[in-house]
Amino acid sequence: MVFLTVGTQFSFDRLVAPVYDWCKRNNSEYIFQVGASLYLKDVEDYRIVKNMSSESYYNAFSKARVVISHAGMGTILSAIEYEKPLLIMPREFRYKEHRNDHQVDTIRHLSALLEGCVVRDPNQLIEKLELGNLSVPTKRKENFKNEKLLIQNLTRVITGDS
Amino acid sequence: MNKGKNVVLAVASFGGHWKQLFHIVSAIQSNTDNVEFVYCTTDASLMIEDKLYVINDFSADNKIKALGAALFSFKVLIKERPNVIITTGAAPGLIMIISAYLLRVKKRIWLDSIANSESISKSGKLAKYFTTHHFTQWKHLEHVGKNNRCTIYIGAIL
Repeated sequence: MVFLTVGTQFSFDRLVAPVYDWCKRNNSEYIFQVGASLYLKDVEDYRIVKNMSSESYYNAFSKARVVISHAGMGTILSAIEYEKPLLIMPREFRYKEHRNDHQVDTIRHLSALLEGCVVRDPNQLIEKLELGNLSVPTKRKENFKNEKLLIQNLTRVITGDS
Repeated sequence: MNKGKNVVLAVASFGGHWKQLFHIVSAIQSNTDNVEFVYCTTDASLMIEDKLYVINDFSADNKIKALGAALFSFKVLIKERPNVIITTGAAPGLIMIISAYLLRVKKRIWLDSIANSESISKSGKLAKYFTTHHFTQWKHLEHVGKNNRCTIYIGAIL
């Protein structure tokens, strides 16, 4: 099952449209969380929703064979947690897909963690889907180190006297 | 003030902000005793074991909704009397931090989302005036500002 999730702010049809068409062409099962998509606005399909409760989100996540998403931190963290193959394409400011280019920054700054998960355009995405060339985002040594530091420091700040 | 009890209020809008906050605060929670954790987010369907308030979501440019959120924040803060408030953003976290400033909550912590890797978020920049601790998850975004208003790298969820 293909789980597509693009958050709730702004439409992201540059990703939604090609993934929908690919699933239809290949008779693939799917669940889509599409936010304000114009492309699928008139399609009546119980598998396509605007927003999801956290319960159905994690349900979809655990059933997914591959998760396709914008470069949102929620999805990236969930893919790590559920060990799911992930394909992400960042929203870009020049296409009015977000208020700024922080998603492009995210994939650059987390490039080691996201190795093999990132595509920059729909053609690359379809090619990866066709080939089944998928990767699970995996924490590196450095990620574990950063997390340990964060938890230690914040615990001290919260419970300490200063 | 609550008598000797340490109450931490953790606030974030639902989605990536919440995912980070809940992961981090749960880890801290399992490390600490004698601290009560209360949560606040924007999704009403969420179920967690701890006490949870649901605040309406809004973006920073919607002034009327911001006012509603401010009233709600006051209500939560007066009821729970936390000594610590921590948020990863976005707009609801900012409103909560400002309210906590006005109500003199002792520690007011802003932890900017790891998604902001090139600059501190818009709400994070505004929050800086009202926090006691202002943190980033990116080393290269550490910043010493006027009047020693610092943004400090504290580690990162990844």
